Amino acid sequence: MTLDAMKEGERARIVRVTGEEAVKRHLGALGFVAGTVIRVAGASYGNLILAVHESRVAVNDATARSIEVEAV
Amino acid sequence: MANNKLKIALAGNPNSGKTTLFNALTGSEQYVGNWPGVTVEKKDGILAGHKDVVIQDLPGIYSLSPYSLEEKVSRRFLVEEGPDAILNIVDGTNIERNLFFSTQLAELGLPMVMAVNMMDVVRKNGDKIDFDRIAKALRCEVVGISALRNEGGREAAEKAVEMAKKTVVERGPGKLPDVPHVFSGSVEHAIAHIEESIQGKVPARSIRWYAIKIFERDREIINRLDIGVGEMKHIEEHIRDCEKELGDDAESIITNQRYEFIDRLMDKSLALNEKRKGKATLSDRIDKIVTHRILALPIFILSLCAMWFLAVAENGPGTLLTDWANDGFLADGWHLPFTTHECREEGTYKGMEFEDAQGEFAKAEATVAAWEAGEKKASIEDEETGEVSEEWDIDEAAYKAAKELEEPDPSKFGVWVPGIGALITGALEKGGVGDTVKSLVVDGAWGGVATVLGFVPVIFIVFLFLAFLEDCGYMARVAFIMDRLLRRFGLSGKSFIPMLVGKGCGVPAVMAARAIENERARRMTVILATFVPCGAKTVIIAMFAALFFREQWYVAALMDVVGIAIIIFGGIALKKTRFFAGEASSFVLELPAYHMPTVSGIWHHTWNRLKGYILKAGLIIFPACVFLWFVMHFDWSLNLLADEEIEKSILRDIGSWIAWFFEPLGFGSWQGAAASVSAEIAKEQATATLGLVAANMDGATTGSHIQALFGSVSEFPKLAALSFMLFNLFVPPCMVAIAVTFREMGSQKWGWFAVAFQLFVGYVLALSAYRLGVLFAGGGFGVWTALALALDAFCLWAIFRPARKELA
Amino acid sequence: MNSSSIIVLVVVVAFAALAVWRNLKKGAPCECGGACKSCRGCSCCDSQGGK
Repeated sequence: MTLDAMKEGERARIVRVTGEEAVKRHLGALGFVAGTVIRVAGASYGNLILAVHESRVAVNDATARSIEVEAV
Repeated sequence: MANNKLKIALAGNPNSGKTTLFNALTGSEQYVGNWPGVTVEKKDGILAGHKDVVIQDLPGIYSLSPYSLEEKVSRRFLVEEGPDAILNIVDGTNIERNLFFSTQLAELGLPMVMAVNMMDVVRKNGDKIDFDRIAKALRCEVVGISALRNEGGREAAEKAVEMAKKTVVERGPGKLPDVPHVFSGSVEHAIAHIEESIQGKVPARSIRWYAIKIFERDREIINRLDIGVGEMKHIEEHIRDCEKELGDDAESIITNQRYEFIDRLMDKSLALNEKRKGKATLSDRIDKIVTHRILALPIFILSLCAMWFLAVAENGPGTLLTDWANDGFLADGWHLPFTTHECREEGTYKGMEFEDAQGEFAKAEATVAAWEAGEKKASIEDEETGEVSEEWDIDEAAYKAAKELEEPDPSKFGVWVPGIGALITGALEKGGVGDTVKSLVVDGAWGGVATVLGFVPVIFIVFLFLAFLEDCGYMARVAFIMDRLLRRFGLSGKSFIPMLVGKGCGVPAVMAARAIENERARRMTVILATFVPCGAKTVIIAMFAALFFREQWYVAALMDVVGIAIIIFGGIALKKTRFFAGEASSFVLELPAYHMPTVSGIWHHTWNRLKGYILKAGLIIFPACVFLWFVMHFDWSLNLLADEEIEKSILRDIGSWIAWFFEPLGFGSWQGAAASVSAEIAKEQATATLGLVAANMDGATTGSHIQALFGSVSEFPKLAALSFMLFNLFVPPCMVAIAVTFREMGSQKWGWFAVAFQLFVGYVLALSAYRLGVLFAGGGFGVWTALALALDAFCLWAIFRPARKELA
Repeated sequence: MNSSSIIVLVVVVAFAALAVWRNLKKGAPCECGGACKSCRGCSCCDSQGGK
């Protein structure tokens, strides 16, 4: 499944990041790489606030769809 | 900067406390921000106590890949200029993510000290970090600091200096630095091959960094290095082999393995307090409310209203300060607060407050002027708006009494501080300077400069408020909240900040767009942000609202609405063009933890923005006013003209040449043309020029002159005035903002595109308002009406046509 | 025109010319207040021509 299917408070492990090269690279630098466990800290109309490592990163629904995850 | 100085580059993630440390080390003025990527320029400062050491502040970035402008700037600097050492600041509360950048820095092969910041918080959280292990793994020195509490930063910097000096001595030619190897066997193998083939083409110490970049197929690096076709093919084979083996693309392999390396390292060197794990922080709890699906928007609007009240509400601090600046500090003078009292001297003014006395004197002056003009009624108008506030009958007795009345002496009403305008006038009069030159200095040069400076209080408050919102961390949330809405118009959530700033001044607004990574959204923001009426345009609105639209109270507010509408519909239309078409833009933004901003941080932030605005008064408005004065007071044979002879002036001719352009808009006279052109110098100049060029019109005051002017050019003066106002508000902004637009667009082509688009919007708006207004008012249908309708139809088509098919 | 008028006129025109000359040479003042050396060396200049 992709990240946009997740609800607030849920945790998941990243399987793959797809999409535009530059955005993928930026997400990678922020810690969105395969194997990392993230948590949805907040959600608002499809846009998400994600807890990755110790930081909070906001993404919109388009970006959330480009991140494939599996439940943990 | 002299070359014999030791250069220490300060590098780290956004929000890692880099700027705070920089300020502490150098004592220099610098702006501390919480909006990720706020430090866009490289700043230098001398390390306090070390005259021969320069600290260079790099933008806060997450990686050395060319993702954003900041990353490109930083890496070009680090790789090409090569500082003597790197001081890498790392957020100790989020060390894993921060180390991702550190591993890349370490590969550059420069001496490096890692300063683990926020150790006070780390200790309070009960976490433990093993510095020695990290130091060994990354081949650098590691020290714990707390920039905010001013602990350890100095020692870290001095260690970096020491390392830089030692390396210069130790490292002879050919001796390569020890850099960490973080990747798996097959990747390291490929990198070793790449290193072999680029030897001699890159600086020896950074060869590993280059090799990794080539492995990642980094275009910028590959294009710059002169690698043979055969060689490149060979390298490509190695990369392909790795990709096949690991089942991922080269770039992802590098990123993933970096994080795997960090994970392994953290397993051994980071002990998080178990009790704290996975718990919601205070920031999370604030975010629950602030980004709540229903509450988010009301909270945001409320905070905007607060800014509004502070800056422009009647009797709010902004207006009070503006009045003080415009009427007191910059003009005649002002009474020290709490010293004012009633006039105690015998005479007409006894028992009056200063304001009442002034009103009394103004009435007397009006009486004298009206009687001498042979009228039986006198009236008083508001100086700025031309509104008639009072009218009364006069006779000879009143005239005589009025003639005798002397101007009230402000020093009789309290402690009087003379204003700058009064001081200049006084000095010129004392020096016996002639009237013409006096008018140049007082009305021309100083008048223009004072108009700009008069806006400083409002703009100061707007910037102060924004600085607070940015520094506490809320601004990043605003971008998040607004993204959903703005994405529909081809913009990004981050486009909202430039528009907010644009309410104060368009120049920083255009620059603030830099934080938007998506190139399309960034360009569109630059084009659209200046449609928000800025502080200077507010002057035009205020004057026209008072002179022509007193019964239409909504006109002033309508201009803000028109600005927003242009941004929305302009965005929709642009998005459908081939230049801006593309898939929905992604949005990725780190939300820094909320924290109480420091006073000095907010101050630097606000001041740096305000400084540019104040410089504008001296560097642009001042020479422009002198030029305007010149073309208004001289004819082509360079004869000095009196104020009444403006019809012979150079300005008149220049205005006449281009008046045809404004003919369809209903104000095609030399005056309207001259005012519109001078508005490009600075928008508020439109009102001042209009007042000067209309001076020969019928009427007793500037306000009535201007009303008469529009009456003389059109049968429908109100519509012509509306058209003039729309035109000057929504054509390209002042020339400073245009210059910044060109710079931020990055190319002449895009700069001209922006200006052409803005000119088109302003022209069509003014043309439609005037010609269709005339049509409805019964003024008939003409060629221009047809053109207006045709252009409107084109705009509607541009907005509502089906979107282009997205290219795969 | 008397001598003091001429002096004032010359001073004003000289200052205006100085400002124009500075703008032509260093570019118009920007947000950084010219602190980044007329914006050479800051990212706004680096973006010029690049990309």
